[in-house]
Amino acid sequence: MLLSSVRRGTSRAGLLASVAGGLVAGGCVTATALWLFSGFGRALPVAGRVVGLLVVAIAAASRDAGIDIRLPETQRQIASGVFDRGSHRGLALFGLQLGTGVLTYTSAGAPYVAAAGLLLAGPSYVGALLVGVGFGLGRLLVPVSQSLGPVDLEQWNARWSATPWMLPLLLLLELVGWLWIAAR
Amino acid sequence: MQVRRVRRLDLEGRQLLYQVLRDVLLAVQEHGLALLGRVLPLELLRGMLDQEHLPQTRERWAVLQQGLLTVPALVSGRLPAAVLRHVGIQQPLRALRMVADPRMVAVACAMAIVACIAAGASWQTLLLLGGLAGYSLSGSV
Repeated sequence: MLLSSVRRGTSRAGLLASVAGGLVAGGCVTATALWLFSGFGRALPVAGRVVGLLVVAIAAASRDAGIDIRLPETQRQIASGVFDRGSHRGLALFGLQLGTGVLTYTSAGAPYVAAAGLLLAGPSYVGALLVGVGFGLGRLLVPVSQSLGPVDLEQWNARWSATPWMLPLLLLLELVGWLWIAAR
Repeated sequence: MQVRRVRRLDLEGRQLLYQVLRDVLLAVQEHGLALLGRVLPLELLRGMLDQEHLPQTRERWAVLQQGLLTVPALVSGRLPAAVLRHVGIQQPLRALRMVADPRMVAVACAMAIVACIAAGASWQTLLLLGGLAGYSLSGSV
């Protein structure tokens, strides 16, 4: 899907590397920005961090459940003009914007919990970068798996939609992980 | 027709999960033994375990022995990384095929995060938490 929208004649591995690099860089940019403000979270007692994480998780879960709760979100698609800059550069720019997680729609609540975790749990800078790298790789998983075989977007979307417990489970795992980090 | 196809995929998904679980358990045995070998000479430990007053069947004791040997590696936090290497690098296509079914990813994430937290492996946990947040946005691809 993603890779089919660029010109033919370029190597698939190179294109994947471009979008992967962009995604990881984007994740690291956002993680760095959040980490810079994490000093405020570190000043809080553990109980305060836990309460903060729980509040954000409840708000995000409510939003996932369809309740009209407004969380920060950029409500626009990434401009298709980025691909005018060539396949590799375009994909890298696309990945960079997608990887930041703040320049387009946020369709799930788990990233909000991750952002709150970075702010409140106050990991080291290397730890924050690891979260950013993980975020980029996590966003890359599906495009990579789809580029390896015949793309069936309808089937993929049907499977995702037919699994209503997925988003709550992912959000719960995210919350448990960050609570553990915050309590250390 | 559509229902049949979904059921078939479910079966394939389950089989894939069992294969991955088996690989993880094999990696636990393999890497657990190797990691402990750096700390304590295995010959010494085996000699202690093979005393006559210990359990009768050698097979049963061997299983217990391997289980015991994985504990220090799990606690040290090195084992989750070794398991991830085994599953993710030695069998990258199998790991990627799991992504085709979101339920497989959810189960794998749950197992991995619980294992990392139990092992006190903070950097692996942070990487997984980031990956999980990124993957949760895949519904919009």
